[in-house]
Amino acid sequence: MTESLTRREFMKEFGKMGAAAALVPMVVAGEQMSDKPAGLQRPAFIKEVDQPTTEVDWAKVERLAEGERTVRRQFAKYVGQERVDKLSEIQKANMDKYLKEDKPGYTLKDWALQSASGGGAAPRKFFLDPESVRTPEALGVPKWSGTPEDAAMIITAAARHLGAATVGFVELDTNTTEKLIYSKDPDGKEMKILDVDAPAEDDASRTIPKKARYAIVYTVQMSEETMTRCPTHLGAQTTSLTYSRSQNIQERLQRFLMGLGYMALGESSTNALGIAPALGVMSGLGELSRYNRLLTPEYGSMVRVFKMLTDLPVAPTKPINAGLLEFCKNCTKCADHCPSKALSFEKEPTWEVKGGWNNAGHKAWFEDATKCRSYWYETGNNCGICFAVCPFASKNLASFSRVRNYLTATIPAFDGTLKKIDDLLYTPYTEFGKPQKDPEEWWRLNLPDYGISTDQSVRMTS
Amino acid sequence: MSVTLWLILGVVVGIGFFLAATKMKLSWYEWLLAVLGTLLVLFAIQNYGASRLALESRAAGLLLVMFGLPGVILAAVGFALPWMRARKAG
Ligand code: B12
Ligand code: SF4
Ligand code: SF4
Repeated sequence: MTESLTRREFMKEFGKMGAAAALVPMVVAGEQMSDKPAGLQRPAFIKEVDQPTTEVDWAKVERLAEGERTVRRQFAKYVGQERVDKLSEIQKANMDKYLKEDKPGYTLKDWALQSASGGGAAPRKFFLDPESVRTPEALGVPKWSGTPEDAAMIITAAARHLGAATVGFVELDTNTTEKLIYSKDPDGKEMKILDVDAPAEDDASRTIPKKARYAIVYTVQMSEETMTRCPTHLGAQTTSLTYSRSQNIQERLQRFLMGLGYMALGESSTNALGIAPALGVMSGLGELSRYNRLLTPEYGSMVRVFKMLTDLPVAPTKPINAGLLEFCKNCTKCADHCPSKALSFEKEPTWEVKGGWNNAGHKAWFEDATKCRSYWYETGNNCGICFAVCPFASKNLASFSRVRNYLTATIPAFDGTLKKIDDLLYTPYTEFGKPQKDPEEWWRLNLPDYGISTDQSVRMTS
Repeated sequence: MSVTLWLILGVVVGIGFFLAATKMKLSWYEWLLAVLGTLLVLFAIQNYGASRLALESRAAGLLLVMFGLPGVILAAVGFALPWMRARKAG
């Protein structure tokens, strides 16, 4: 150990030793090493299941035209242009006022960081020009070959190295998971899935070759220390930074796959191609939660989700049951704290959608997305309080969070108590609609790169 | 340094249990209380340090008290009962 440990490093080592000690009983209680590659292993209490914890009636699921249905694209259609104009006025007035009065989280330095976070990223492309990549063909060697398990291993290693947090795989099936690929991309182009050899794009459509059957789904971490400063510019900044980081990850992963000799079809624009949380659930990266998005055992809510299609055969990863959806039944924390009251308080998820912005065919706690989006005009940015207050959003360094994850997965009877303990530990004084933590304080913290912890190995929960 | 800290803690705990085993007579339930109490105290210390690192000082303090206090009480009872017995006998 070096002699000049900083306080941070000291505390980190200190934490790890104890976490290791705390792990012992859980190893005894059933954690085991499997023959999976290290990058895909998980503690045994996270059960792999054949069907996800979200009930799905695939016959009722239809491919969604993102640009025509979601609230981010069709807000005016759902609430009317007059309302949008009114909200825009409110936004303008609020932003002007907040900046001039130096409101914490909206000072000039917060604006500057927010706009900086969205920059410096590779443009998103559905596919890259093969001429721009060093393919095996160009090198005069055959394509990479290996078992689907080997493929899963090397893609996971590469994606992680390029900045992804967790990685999972879905083999698309025409009657089920293929329906999670948008029928139209956000820009309105039709997404055709055809029996052709190569991907293509023209003014009206994009073509996905049928043989690009494998969806690589990956999460990218957000920073809790910023997210807990939502709803402010400072808080929203982790969303922007994660998007720009994901753009670079996408381009590099495309280069990697093409460098192996295979297709790599990415998001043509932010959030294009398919329903990310759904693919996240189907690839076992997490479960669908009350805030109607992916909740993961490793990073809780603190991740964004992205996807890519390839024709390199990859071994699929199964959906999981880590007790998370079940936990949500006894916890309404995200809904309680949501300033726009957009989230469901129902005990059980339902088949009934809230509006045209939802896609029927699965059981969920559907949100009133128009309320959520309306509120963003007030904040002048986005929100994310629901993600920040979730009990699973903690950094998982304290071994108590390991115990919490273990109990959540094994003894649902503790869920209510665990939620109460979380209230006491993290949010006893959080005011409704206010940041959980002081935005000004953030500038004085000593945080790791990107504000995220990357020393957590793959798929470990502490 | 941190490794050293856990090492020191280990040595202290080790010596404590060694003395208890050789110099005092603990009944089975006193052993149980002493071991449980010590484990809780160590758990509390880990949670305290890690929560401080996670910049959650309130959680750090609460977890320390939540697990540390019962831990100290259990361990104290486990070690104190035989000690008092020994003193009475002596
Ligand atoms: C549109 C959109 C929104 C809209 C609202 C959604 C809508 N229906 O209009 C607005 C702009 C309001 C919004 C808000 C937020 N969003 Co948003 N959003 C999206 C986007 C671009 C499209 C999702 C979509 O197509 N929904 C339409 C239909 C499908 O919605 P639905 O029927 O209600 O289904 C939802 C779930 O039930 C599930 N789902 C759908 N079908 C199926 C099928 C199966 C089998 C299963 C298991 C699940 C499942 O996924 C859907 C997610 O919206 C995605 C990116 C993407 N491509 O997925 C990000 C995304 C879902 N949002 C995200 C986030 C983080 C947020 C915010 C916290 C804002 C922020 N700070 O970033 C809030 C949270 C609001 C909330 N809790 O409700 C993340 C979620 C990450 C995660 N951990 O899951 C995503 C994935 C973006 C990303 N790249 O990471 N969002
Ligand atoms: S992002 Fe904010 S407004 Fe939207 S659902 Fe979450 S907490 Fe509510
Ligand atoms: S806050 Fe509670 S109800 Fe909401 S997603 Fe997290 S665990 Fe589920």
